[in-house]
Amino acid sequence: MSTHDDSLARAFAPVRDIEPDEGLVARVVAQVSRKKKAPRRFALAPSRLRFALQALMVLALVGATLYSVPATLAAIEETGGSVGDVFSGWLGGDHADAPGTPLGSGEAAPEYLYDHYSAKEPRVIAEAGGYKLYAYIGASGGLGFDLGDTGVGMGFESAAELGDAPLHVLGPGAIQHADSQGHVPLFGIAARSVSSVELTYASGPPLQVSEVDGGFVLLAEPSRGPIEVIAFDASGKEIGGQLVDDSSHPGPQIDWNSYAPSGSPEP
Amino acid sequence: MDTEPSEIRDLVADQVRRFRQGDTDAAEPLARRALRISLRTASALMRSREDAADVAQEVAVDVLSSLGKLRDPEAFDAWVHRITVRHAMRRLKKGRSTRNIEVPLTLLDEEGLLGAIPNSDIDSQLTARRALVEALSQLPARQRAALALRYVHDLSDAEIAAALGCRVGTVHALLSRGRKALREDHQLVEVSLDLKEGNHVHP
Repeated sequence: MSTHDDSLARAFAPVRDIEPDEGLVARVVAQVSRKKKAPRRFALAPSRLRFALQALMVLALVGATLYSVPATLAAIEETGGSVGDVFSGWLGGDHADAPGTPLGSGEAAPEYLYDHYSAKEPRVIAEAGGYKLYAYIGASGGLGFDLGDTGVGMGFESAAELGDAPLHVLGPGAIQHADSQGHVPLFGIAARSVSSVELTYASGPPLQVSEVDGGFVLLAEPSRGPIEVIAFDASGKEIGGQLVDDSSHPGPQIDWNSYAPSGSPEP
Repeated sequence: MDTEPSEIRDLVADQVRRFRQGDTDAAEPLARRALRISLRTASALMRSREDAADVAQEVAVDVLSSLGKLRDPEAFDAWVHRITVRHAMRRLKKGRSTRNIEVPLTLLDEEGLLGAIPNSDIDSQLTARRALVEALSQLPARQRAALALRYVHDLSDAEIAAALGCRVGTVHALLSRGRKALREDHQLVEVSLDLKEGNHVHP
């Protein structure tokens, strides 16, 4: 150990011997005995997709104050743009500022996206493995997303509700949309400062997606235990991230085990 | 040092198996172990003892509630480290605590340990801890976590990589950048020099 390591070790020394008090132990034991974990599923019946999307829009509006996206200190302090900035201009009428590309008239997409009353100006924000992330302006002027025509969608009253972070993971597709290799699409949107994203796993190498332009679709492998989506700027500097494991943190609490019935993540 | 003898690891693994089979008596020792690991890490990362205790409690509850996902019962400590990192980073990312800034050394007071340390040593350690906490607070969350796992638990690069969910090469980079930043922190450098010279340093 170097001299500097010695100094750091000495600085950390006071916390190396801390023991929890009995009250804390008792509280944990009591809490565990009461805790019941409910499974979380996103799958919706396709025939009810449009109604469900509208309902999800309302739920998202109600729950927006409870659903805050964690941002790294680096993201808060060092980046000039947020994910909300990507969509604010477009929602404000600046079509030139819109992310992605307009949905083509003959392009395969959920039928409701061609209903100009409920979904205005639909756009494709990102695409991977045949899954497209769609964004549109809702009937009330809010922002809507369709996650790859998997039966999952969500809405926000304004771009500001997307938060100040450079990254916002929207969620995965429904379980029945896993491909033949067991990959499940994981959708998200990103600030303009984000040029690439990386999905880290409990085991094995991360999945990297470059050329991010406002959004991303990651073909996640649930059996490897997805942990976090990390955002990088053009220089490769980490500027933000969001946990996507199944622990009880804010964000899409994804029960990856339900997507990977044949195995669970291990340390 | 958290590298445990094999018999302790076996004992913990046995407690994990018993807990999974419904033996409620196994909950307390597992909760205590999870709390010990997570509280030490969180105390190095958080700016208040309340935040550290909150994180430790969340971690312990999460660990015991998710033990069904732990394929290898002997990997209990690694499981705790990983969940601790998740919770601590989430807390750090959520923003600065609204609680009063308090150096985690005050936790020692609850154990009655401070009374055994001369006042001058307490002062120097408090100063060192305060400088460290302030220096760490300027670093990205993952660098902080990597440094804490190395210097609080003596984890190897591979073990830190498992806890952070990244590659070993990334751990090298995180530790290197973190050490470099701390070396450039003038206040911490001064404190470290005092410690190196043996001024009021508690062994």
